[in-house]
Amino acid sequence: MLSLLFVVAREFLEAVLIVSIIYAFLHKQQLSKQGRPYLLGGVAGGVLLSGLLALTLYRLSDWLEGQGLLYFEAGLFIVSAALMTQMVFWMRRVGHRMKAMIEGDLKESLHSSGFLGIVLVTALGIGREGSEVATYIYSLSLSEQFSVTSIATACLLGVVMALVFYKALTRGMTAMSLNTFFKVTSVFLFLTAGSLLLEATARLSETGILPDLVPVVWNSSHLIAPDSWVGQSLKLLIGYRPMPSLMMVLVYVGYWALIALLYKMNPAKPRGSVQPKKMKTGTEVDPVLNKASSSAS
Amino acid sequence: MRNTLLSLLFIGMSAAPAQADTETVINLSVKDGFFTPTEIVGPANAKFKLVVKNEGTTAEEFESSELNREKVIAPGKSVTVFLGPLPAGTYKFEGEFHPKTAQGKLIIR
Repeated sequence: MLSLLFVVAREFLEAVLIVSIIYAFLHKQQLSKQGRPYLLGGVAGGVLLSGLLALTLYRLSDWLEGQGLLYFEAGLFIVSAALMTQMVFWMRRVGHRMKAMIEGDLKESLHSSGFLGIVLVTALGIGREGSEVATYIYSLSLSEQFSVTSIATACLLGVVMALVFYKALTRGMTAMSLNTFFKVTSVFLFLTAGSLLLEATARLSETGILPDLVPVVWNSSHLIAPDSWVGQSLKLLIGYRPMPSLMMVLVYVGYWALIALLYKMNPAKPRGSVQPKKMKTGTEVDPVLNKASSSAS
Repeated sequence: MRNTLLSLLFIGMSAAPAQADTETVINLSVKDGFFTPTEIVGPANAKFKLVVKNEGTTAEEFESSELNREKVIAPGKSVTVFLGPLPAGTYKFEGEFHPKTAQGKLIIR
């Protein structure tokens, strides 16, 4: 019972963090009213996706045995990472342009593009972690080990724990200054996306499509054991791997280089500071153009 | 009819990776939080397959941060973990749904 509770709580931790960040962001931008349906839609979609993925694991596992599942998972991770990265840039853009948008006509376009991202990021975040919980719970309900009531109680407790955690987090985050909030959450989301890319890399190298280059670049198992408390937390937060392949290192470093480049290309300037002379360089463009160019990246 | 079609498809899919049949296959089973055997040996600097069968009644997640592998196994099912080429050494793995008891080592030599 207690182990079930821990599995549920741990698997949901990442999803809860992401949902909390999105909600806190919406709240800060006074968009929580418009954004809530999208966020709830994402949560509902994620729960549905969990069930579907778990069912796939059960019914189609023989079928997808071998490499099919690996490609599927790698694809899922890459899409999640890309959406998450895009969401950070969207949040940043919205954050800096909010005043203009509320007053201007841009409010409409803001709804369609960014809010769809919210739905997808939430749904994929919950779906990824939730499918594991669903598989686990389903198998427990089939075994004689636990009664249905104890499973239901544990799940309910797990959800309550997640909600309490969510409340505490969103409260903490809404109390932060906007600047701190952006810094903290952007770093967290990029780290999460980076570790999703590591997962994808591991799966693609398992299929043989992506070479390891060097199978084990270093071994830090003795310094920080992966099964220790510190190792587990670092894995969740920064994608810590004690024995990474060279390909994993390159992907991780490459991802952060890309982020740095994107930041350079989309400097966050308060609206007033756009100088006319800068327009010539082509790096500072009007909000609409800038928006279009960065959503393409 | 439907089964025949499915098995044909399955044969087609499993035949696809050409090099797969020549690889070493190592079997491992897990039953409600315990691996058997707890120590397995694999070849160094070569590709091989690890087939993990879940003989228990609860799901398990084969996980190894050192091997960079993570796979959920439904009860009664087995999954194939493609590994290598790896340098000689000891790589720990565990069952993430039963981390207290489900512990094992892969020795590469």
